[in-house]
Amino acid sequence: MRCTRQRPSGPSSGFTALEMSLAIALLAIVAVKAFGALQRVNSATGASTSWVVVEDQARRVLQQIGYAVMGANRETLVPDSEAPLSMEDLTFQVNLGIQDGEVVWGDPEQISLDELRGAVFWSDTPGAAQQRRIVWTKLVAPFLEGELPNGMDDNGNGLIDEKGLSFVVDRNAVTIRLTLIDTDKDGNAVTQTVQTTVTCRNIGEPTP
Amino acid sequence: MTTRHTTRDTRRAGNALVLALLVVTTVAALGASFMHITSSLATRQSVGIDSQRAFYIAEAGLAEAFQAVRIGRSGEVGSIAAPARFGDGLVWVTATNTVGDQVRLESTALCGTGRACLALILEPIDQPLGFFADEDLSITSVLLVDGYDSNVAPYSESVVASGSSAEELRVYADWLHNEVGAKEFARVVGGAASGPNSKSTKGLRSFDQAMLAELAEWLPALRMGYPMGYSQNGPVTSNSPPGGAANADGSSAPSSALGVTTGRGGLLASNGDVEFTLSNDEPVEIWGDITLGTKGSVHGLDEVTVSGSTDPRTTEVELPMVEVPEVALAPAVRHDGLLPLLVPAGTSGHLEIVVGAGAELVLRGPSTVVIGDLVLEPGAALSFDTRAGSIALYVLRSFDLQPGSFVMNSEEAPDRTTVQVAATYDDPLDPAVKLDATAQFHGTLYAPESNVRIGSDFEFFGGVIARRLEIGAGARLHFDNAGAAGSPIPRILSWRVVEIPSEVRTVFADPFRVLGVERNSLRELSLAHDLGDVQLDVVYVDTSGVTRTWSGSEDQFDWLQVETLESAARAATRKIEVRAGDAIKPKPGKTKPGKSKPGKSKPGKSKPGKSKPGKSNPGKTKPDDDDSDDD
Repeated sequence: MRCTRQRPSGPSSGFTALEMSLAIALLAIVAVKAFGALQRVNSATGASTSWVVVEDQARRVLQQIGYAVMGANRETLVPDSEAPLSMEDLTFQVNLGIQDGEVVWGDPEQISLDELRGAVFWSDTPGAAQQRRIVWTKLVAPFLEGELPNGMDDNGNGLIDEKGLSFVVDRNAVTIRLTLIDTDKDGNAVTQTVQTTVTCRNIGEPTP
Repeated sequence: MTTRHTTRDTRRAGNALVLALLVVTTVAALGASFMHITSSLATRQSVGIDSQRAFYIAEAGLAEAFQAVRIGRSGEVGSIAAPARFGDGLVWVTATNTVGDQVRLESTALCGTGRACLALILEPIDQPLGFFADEDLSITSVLLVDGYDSNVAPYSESVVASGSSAEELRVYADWLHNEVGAKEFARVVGGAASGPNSKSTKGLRSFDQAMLAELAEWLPALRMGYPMGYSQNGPVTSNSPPGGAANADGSSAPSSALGVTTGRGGLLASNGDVEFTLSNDEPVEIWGDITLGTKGSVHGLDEVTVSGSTDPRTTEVELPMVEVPEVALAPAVRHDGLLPLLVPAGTSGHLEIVVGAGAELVLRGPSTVVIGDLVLEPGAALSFDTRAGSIALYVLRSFDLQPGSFVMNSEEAPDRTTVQVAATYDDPLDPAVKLDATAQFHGTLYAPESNVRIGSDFEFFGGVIARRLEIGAGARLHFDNAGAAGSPIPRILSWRVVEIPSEVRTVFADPFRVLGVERNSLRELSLAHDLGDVQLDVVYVDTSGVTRTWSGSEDQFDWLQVETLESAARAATRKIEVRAGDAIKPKPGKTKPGKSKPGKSKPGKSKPGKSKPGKSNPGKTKPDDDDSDDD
């Protein structure tokens, strides 16, 4: 008896409906805010991650192409176009070392852009039946950032309608431009453009 | 009661704690994951940056070693045990000599987590020798040394080209306007049936084109040292042409007291000292450089005109013996006949050939001719016919072109005629090679163990390498520096990215920790050259006050014992080996890109790209140089 009378009347036996309502409301507000903040942070992090990943890939591919061109012989670069013309394929021969005092040159190699797949390929013995191809990236944009296929130099780099991968040869130097494009998880486009100019270290006599 | 209340309060506080812990844990987990993501992205970026930095440090190492090779040193810079410090990274360069005097440099660099290894194969190109004596060189009388580039134009055309300079013609035309000049011109070309002399020179008052063209025909004669006594600025005492010659490149050549000259490009060299001992104000003009031995010096320059430098070489020159082809020698021949004695194209040998007065010996190229003794008596003639090919003449004992004999070339290209003398001992007073003939000889002479005398009438176009050079009064030596212009810069045969050494390939920690070296104990890149390839000659006062001298490899010398340094001279220890023809131009390049057809690279060697060029970088995947061939 004594106990049953005391339970409902005890001041600290539980929360009142008002307390509970307020607590839930406040919690809900905090939760919504926190969720929104988390979403924004998550989204920003995702975008940042995508940006870094694309940039990292762009720089790696650019570095690979750069090393290949540096090791190539200037005289073996095909085609050999100067600005405002550019090319998206480059064939070259690299130095394999010295044998009996003579420089030995490898078979022709090619770095090329597959426009349909947006991929950059390295391949050996281009055109041969047993040609091997290795994909260096599949994120290449159809055109360099800011460029449109309109016969004009839209991005002000001196080139007309250059593709997502472009080579311009100026004497012993080759300027390589690359634009990669990807979408983050929110469907936003992430574009990275990188460029470098490298010099062919191997300068020799023209191919007879 | 009290107990119940306490129990209820504690239970409520625990609820809050659980909630708080949940929130803290969630936030901490989120924070940790963000940090992890950020950190991994930063690491990913820094790996790329370190890789680039390592690459450029390796390039810097190669550049440093390249310059070392250029000045005759080995190219070794630092080592894996004591690398050089450069920026935030480390680098060392190994150098190995390969076949054909080539040098292979391999530069390995570490920076952060980045690693790079580059290989460069060089062919050192040594400075040409010009007119070179292995022993000290002594000049005692009139001498003209200059040079030209036969790749551009032969000597005669270089000079004639300068004569056609419109400005020079105008100077001569102006000279003709003067009565004194006109009389002098008449004296110079007197007796000629045509030319300005055929007219009244007083009538030459205008610079019309016809007159200038006619004058141009006579310019070579005017410029051949005749006294003219006139210049644009008035009478001159020199017998040089007014205004001096102009080089083919349009620059003005200086006036010469010894007649026509290109005024540039000459080279007189020795492995020792060069001394001028002149009397009676005899003119000696060196239009170019005098190059001394590594420890050489030049004396008596006060009386001499030297337009270039008089620096010692950085490397000692070594003269290998002549390698005479094995040829059966025909019996000795004495030729006195009216018809020329013809030595046909091909390979032939003679024990001795003596050409008498009025007779002629013709050597026809392409040929290799070995002669024991070759003697031209006064009035005899020797012709080098190189129209169909080069001539390589080997003389075993003596090459005696006596005064009054004549030597002729069919062409003016010095590299078409090579004379090598294999005599290993001869009397300084009676040299094995006596060039006393009257000649305008175009060729090279290589006599590493012989004394060579160049007579005053033997005008030499090309170059000479001899043990000892005796140069007659009034000699004119024209060095052909074809292809050797500028400083000798090694030729780059091959540049490649190569496999990183296994010691550092897979360890991506701090490079100083990986190699176990202290940053501050390492030398800077420019100071880390191997001192073992430097010959040091030093005079010093040691710590006990005694003056001492020391000579040897610099890495063996203890600088701590030096109290006061009196003198120190350094020289590279790499020796230059020369052959006949090296006086003319450096060895031809051997790089032929595209020469190797597909598949030429040796079977068994990995083909380009075979080892996944997509992985690290294309260069790294290529087969390394064939060490057995390199070494």
